[in-house]
Formats: sequence, structure tokens, C-alpha cells
Amino acid sequence: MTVGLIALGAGLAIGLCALATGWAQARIGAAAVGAILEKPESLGTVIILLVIPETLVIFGFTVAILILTTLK
Amino acid sequence: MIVEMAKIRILGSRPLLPAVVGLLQDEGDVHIESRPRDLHEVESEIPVIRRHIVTGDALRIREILESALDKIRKLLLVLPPSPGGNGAGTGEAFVPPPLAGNEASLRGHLAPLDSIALRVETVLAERKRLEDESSLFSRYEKVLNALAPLIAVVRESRDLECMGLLFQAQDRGAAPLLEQALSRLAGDHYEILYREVDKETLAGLLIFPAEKASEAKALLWEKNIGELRLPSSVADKPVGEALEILLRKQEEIPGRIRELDAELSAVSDRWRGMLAGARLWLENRIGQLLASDSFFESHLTFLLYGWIPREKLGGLEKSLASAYGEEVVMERLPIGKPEEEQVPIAISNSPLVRPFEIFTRILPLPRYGTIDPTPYIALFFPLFYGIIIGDIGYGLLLLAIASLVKRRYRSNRFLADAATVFSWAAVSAILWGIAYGELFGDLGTRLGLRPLFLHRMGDFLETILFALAIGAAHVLLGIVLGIRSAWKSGNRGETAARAAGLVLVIGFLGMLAGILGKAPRAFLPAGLAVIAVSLPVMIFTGGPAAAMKLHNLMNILSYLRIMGIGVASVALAYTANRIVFLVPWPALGIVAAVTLHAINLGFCILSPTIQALRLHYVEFFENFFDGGGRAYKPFKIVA
Repeated sequence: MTVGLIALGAGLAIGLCALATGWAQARIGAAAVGAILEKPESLGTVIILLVIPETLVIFGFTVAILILTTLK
Repeated sequence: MIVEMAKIRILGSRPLLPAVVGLLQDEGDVHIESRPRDLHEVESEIPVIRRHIVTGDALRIREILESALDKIRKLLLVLPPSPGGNGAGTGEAFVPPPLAGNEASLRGHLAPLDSIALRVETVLAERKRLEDESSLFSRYEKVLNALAPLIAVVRESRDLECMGLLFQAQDRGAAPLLEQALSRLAGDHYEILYREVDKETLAGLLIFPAEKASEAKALLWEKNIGELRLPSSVADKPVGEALEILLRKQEEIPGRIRELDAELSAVSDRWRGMLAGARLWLENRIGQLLASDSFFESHLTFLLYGWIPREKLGGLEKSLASAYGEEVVMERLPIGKPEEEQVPIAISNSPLVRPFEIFTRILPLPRYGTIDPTPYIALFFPLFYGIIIGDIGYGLLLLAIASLVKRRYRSNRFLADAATVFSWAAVSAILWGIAYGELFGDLGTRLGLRPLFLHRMGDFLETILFALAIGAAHVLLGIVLGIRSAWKSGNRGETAARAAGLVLVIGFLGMLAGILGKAPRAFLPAGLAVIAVSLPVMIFTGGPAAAMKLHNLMNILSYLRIMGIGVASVALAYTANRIVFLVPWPALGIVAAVTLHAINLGFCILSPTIQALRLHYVEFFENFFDGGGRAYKPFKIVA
């Protein structure tokens, strides 16, 4: 039971963060395509903006790993 | 690194102006400054100084040259390339007109251009007309082909009228009804012939007494049957004759287009070389005239402000002295603090570092006096990439791909540079693969390879701490570079604030090490004390906005992505290897494993690149990079 709850917690940690990252990247990506069409030289800035939300899922992944290490 | 620039002022005898412009263009090192900051001082010292006035004659000559260049560009665009493909023909060569020539002689010299342009325009206009006609006829092609045999048997007279008809699939049932109506209208005095165009369309040719033509057309309209509408060029002709003309033209047009193409090729062979030479000459001549706009003058002298790389200063000085002696003087001026923003930026890096400029070129240029981040990217990008991938197998494959791309696209500078960058990144991945003991995931372990440094799929906490340590080192280096920039710019308050920020981050890291047991327990209170002192100093010296530098602590956490992406990549490689044993058929398992490894390799190219770049652009550059520099554009010969 405890193992199951720990695994569920780890899954939620990464799953919810991934959803949040996806939601943010979808919005940024849509705006980014428009920005690049208008101003192709903004590609560098756009890539930076696009990968910023990935920090969320990385943190989620790290938290998931930390949760799973308690199983040892 | 940012090339050190020198600000120069060239003063000379006014009649020498055109010759000096030519010399500067030949040397190709001076970035001419059209809006020098200290012009007001010069104007107050020498009241007669003014911007170089372009005379009416010079303006007319410029207009003639620009118009000729415009014509040549259009001609070179439309003329087919020469058979050699090098852009130059084997015919006439360009002979430049004399520089001292007047308007009339220049017009005379460029006159052949008009006749070439007229000839090419006429050929192109005819070609376009034929193409349009061909495109229009092609829409009738199927119907024409279907009706052609019928036209051969129809001979129209003044008493008969011929109409083309089209029945769509759903209207085919209307044909018998039409025939009934026609027989009521004209008895037996009509003929209707059918031919299948395709499954969808049936074409018909209706021959009818001319005096009943309007009633017949009304009948077609009433029965909703489409009459074949012919192109306007033959619309006034009887249908039979019109169709014959269209068929004949359809056959003639390709041959006529080939003739016109041959004529264009002949023009290109004869004149392309001359046009290419004339374009270069005109571009350089117009460049000289436009450059003169940035000069200043008095009654007897001219004055020019510009920028030149410091190492090229001596060479230009010698060239001017040997060409004009004391009649032209060049002096180096000090660059004032407010002027630094105006200094054009030239970036020059060693051959090892230069390929990494592909990553800095997508950002604005750094300002003069600040730091070019390219050498740091050259050091840290392959390092981060290697730490993330860390696999001997993937590294070797990436190295092979990069070598192939480099060999295949040697002439494409961007791709060649990218291939060099990825070659270094792949070497780093191989070295880190040895450190992690990974070869296509755990295949290395199965073959007896052992981790020398970290086992990423087991030592999770150590992997996290390693990523944070890398992040701390990188961010601290960024802060140190920021301190250096602030110090060089003479902003003491900012320097102190940044230094306090550095101490604060070190204090925080010490405190964290104490908490995690990675350092003696005394590091915890010591770190707290350092933070307590450095935070007020930072805010006091840098203002409330300096508190934003606390963001550096979050930036260090962002380096966890090195661990995250790396572990995800290893996990995918492990999964690929295990699939072989999970699938009942080994061959299928191997195919699935290879596919998954190939997908992982694709991720390995894309994801670590973006993440490593992001760590540079966002976390590292934040502390020292100051963009917005003006590009160095030397006045030089267009080759």
C-alpha cells in the first residue's frame, strides 16, 4: 500500500508538471510561430522562451526521483 | 573575442577626395561613421566645415549608375545561367568607363545595356504570352483532343453554325431530351456528334442552321446544357475553325518557346560575363559615391570619421602616407565613454572557437567593452552536451554523422560549423560515456564496462548533486564575468553589488553543503552569516533592483535539467535493450530495440542542444552579457 502511494506520488509529481509544461509551451509555441513569421531574426529569443517552461517538468522529474529513492 | 577598434579621422585636400575614397575601398578596413559624436566640437573649431555636398552633376551620374545597376540585376535574374554554371559567359567582357568621364560619356558607355534589356524584355514578353496561351489551352486540351476527329468531318458554311457542348456526368440524360427538342425546332436539319472526354464529361458538336442559331442557344440555356466557351483570341471564329486554330497553336507553342529559350541562352552566352563585370563595377562605384555622403568638407579640405580594427591602423597609415604624403593626414582619436555604444563590433575568434559563433550569431551582438561569450560556449557547450548524453555508442554515432555532414557540406559554412560543433560535443559524449560506463545504455555493463564516476541509473542523489555543482560553477563564473564587465565600465556601485551577489551565492552554497552533510556542520551558521552580511551590501550598493540577483540561486537549480534529460535518455536506452528480451521473437525484438535507439539518438541531437544552449542564454549570460552592439561594416570592394 505504502509503495503504491509513493509510486503514485512520484507519478503525480512528474505528470502534473508535464501537463503544466505542455500547457505553457503550447501557448508560447503558438505565439512564437507568429513572432517568427513577422520577425525571423527573433528565432533565438523564441527558442529561449519556448524552453523556459521545461524547468517545471525537470523539477517534477527530480522530485519524482527523490520520492522514489525513499523506496530503497 | 571583440576586436579592439580605433577611432580615426582622416583630413585631406578636397580634390583628393575621390582618390582617397577609392583607396579606402581597396583597403577595405574602415567602417565609415556618418554621424560622429564629436562633430559639434569640430564645427565650433572650424565654422566652415559642413557635410559633403553632392553636386547636381554627381547626383545625375549616381542616378544613371543606379538605373544601370537596376537593369543589370533584373537581366542577370532572368537570363539563364551559362553552361559552365559559374555565372560568367564566354562572350563580351566589361570595360569600365573612365572615372573622370562626364554624364554624356557615361550614358554612351552604358548604352548597349538598353538594347540588351529591350531585346530580353521583348523575348520574355513573347515567352510569357505563349506560356499564358499554352496554360489557357491546356484547360481545353481534353475537350480539344476529343473533338478533333469530329472537326475533321465538319465543314461549316455561312448557312450552318457549329456549337461545342459539354455534358457533365449527371446531365448526360439531357442529351436525348435535347435531341428531341432540336428535332422539333429544325426537323432533320441538324447534326449532333458526341465524344467521350473522360468519365465525368461528354463533349458534343452541334451543327445547326444559322437562321435558327439564337433559338438553339436559347434551347441549350433552357435545358441547362453548357456551351463550350472558347478563349477570347478565337471567340469570334466559328467553332470548327477556332478548334482547329487552338489545336494548331497547341502544337506550335512548345517549339516556339524552345526557340525563344535558345535566343535567351544566346544573349546570356554573349553578355552574361559583361553584365556580371558591370554589376560589380557599378556596385563598387555607387558604394564610393554613397560613402562620399558621409564625408565632411570645408572650402579646401575634406574630413572623414571612421572606425578601424586597431591592428589594421598601421597598414592604413602607411598606405595613405605612401599614396598622398602629407596631403592626407590620419589621426587616431580617443574613444570617449559615451561613445562606446557607437563603436562597431567585430568578432574574431581562433579557428577552434569560431564554429561556436553559430550560437552567438542568433543573439544581438555584444556591446563594445563587454564580453564575447563565444569562447565560453565553446568550452561549456560540449561539456554540458557530453554530461547529458554520456554514452560511448551514441557519441560514436554522432561523431560519424557530424563527420559525414562536414565532408558532404564543406562549402556550406553554417552546416560545416555545426558539424564541427557536434564533433566536439560527440567526443565529449564519448568521454563522459566512459566515465558513466554506458554504451547504448546498459549494453556496456552487459559487456563488462563499469562506471568510473557515476552510475546514473542508480546513483540518483549523486547525479542530482553533480548537476547542481556544475550549475553552481557555471553561474559563479557568469557572476565573475559580470563583475569584470562592471569594473571595466567604471561602474563601481554595480561592481560592488555583483561582488556581494557572488559572496551571497557562495554563502548559500556553503549553507546548503552544511545542511546536506557534504561539508562540516559549521558551514551552516557560517553560510547564514555570509548571507546576512552580503544581502544588505548588495541592496545598498546596487539599489533595490539588485535584489533580483537572488535569482541566481534559482538559476543554479535550473541545471538539474542536465541530470533530468540525461537520466531520461539513459532510461530510454535501457528500455530499448530490455525490449529484446520481452518480445517472444528475437529478430522483432532487435528491430524494436534498434528503432528505439534511433529515436533516442534523434532526441540526443535535439534535446541536449536546446537545453545546453538555454543554460547558456538564460542562466549564464544573465550575469554579464550586454547585447545591442552595432555591426562592423567595413567600406570595401564588392567581390
